[in-house]
Amino acid sequence: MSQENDKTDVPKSMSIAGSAQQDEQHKDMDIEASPPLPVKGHSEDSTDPLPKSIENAERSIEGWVIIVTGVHEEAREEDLYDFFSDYGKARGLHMNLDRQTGYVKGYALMEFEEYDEAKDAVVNGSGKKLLGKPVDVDFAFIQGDDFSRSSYDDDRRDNRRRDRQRRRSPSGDRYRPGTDSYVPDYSYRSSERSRELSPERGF
Amino acid sequence: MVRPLLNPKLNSFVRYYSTGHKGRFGHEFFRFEIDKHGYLKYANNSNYRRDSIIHKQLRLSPTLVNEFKRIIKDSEILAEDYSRWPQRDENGRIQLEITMDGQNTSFETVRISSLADTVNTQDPEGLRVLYYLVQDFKCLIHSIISLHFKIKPIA
Repeated sequence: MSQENDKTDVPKSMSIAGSAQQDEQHKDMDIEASPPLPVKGHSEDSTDPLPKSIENAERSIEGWVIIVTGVHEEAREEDLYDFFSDYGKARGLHMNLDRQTGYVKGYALMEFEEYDEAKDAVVNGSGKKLLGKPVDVDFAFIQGDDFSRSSYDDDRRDNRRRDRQRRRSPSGDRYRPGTDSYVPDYSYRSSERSRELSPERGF
Repeated sequence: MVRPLLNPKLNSFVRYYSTGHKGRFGHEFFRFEIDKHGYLKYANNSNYRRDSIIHKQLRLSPTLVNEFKRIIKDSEILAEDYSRWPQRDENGRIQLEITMDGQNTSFETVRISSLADTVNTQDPEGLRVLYYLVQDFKCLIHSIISLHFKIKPIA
């Protein structure tokens, strides 16, 4: 209950004095204000909070993917689903483990069907505490306008080979044999597609 | 022993390239590269069962790029002395290049398929750090690529 409003700048005043449980909650609560969403640019080595990628977020194949960082190492998947249930129904979650320790690595990627759900999660979920530790939430992917960056020689060679294969094969790119999924190759015209699907177009 | 990588790019943040021998299934390799602006290029090549190369490109948000940085920092790979690591062998090699916080690190060593590969080397602890970092990279890249590009099967 009181932990829902961790994002406010005003520290919670505890009107109920000292039961042990209240003290426990009080210890867990963040008395400092959460950092506001920054608006300035970000220099590479600064320690300022990064600006959120709300305006230039890019839609993924079936929804909008957010990245959650600062995830507590003992978090369970259901903790993540519960945490974000206020904003929308998450359609997918990847919360990878640290292969050495077996604990959660510290991040989670979640997918929401609607842009507004994901945006709500980014704006209102950032700074909230999960298992006592504040998380940061942002869109995972953003619009790119320059995928034609020159690269190594073998990249160009591979691109030529890929072009020949695309022309030959009627079904275009595949994901992997043995799976049930056919995946169109979004990387090919990514910048065009991201403009089509951008929020400004009412998508 | 550090070998300079081909055309090191000024914008590069992290580049990982893993390749095996050129065998029955063609030139199998796995490669990803992220630059300072979040542009991710991913390539996975195998002719296993007549598959072909998979190329994906995607731009990551600054927050997500930062999480890669955090993973690299936490691994402390940059503190390792890779001069004692074995050079490539007949099973393949990996190249890893990291540029962050004003530092550029690049090295090439053998592919480590399991912890057993680290045991009889001059620096098992260091190679273990590399092994786990590569696992963490692959996990995150796999999640990113499949969430962004893969259609979910009908449940």
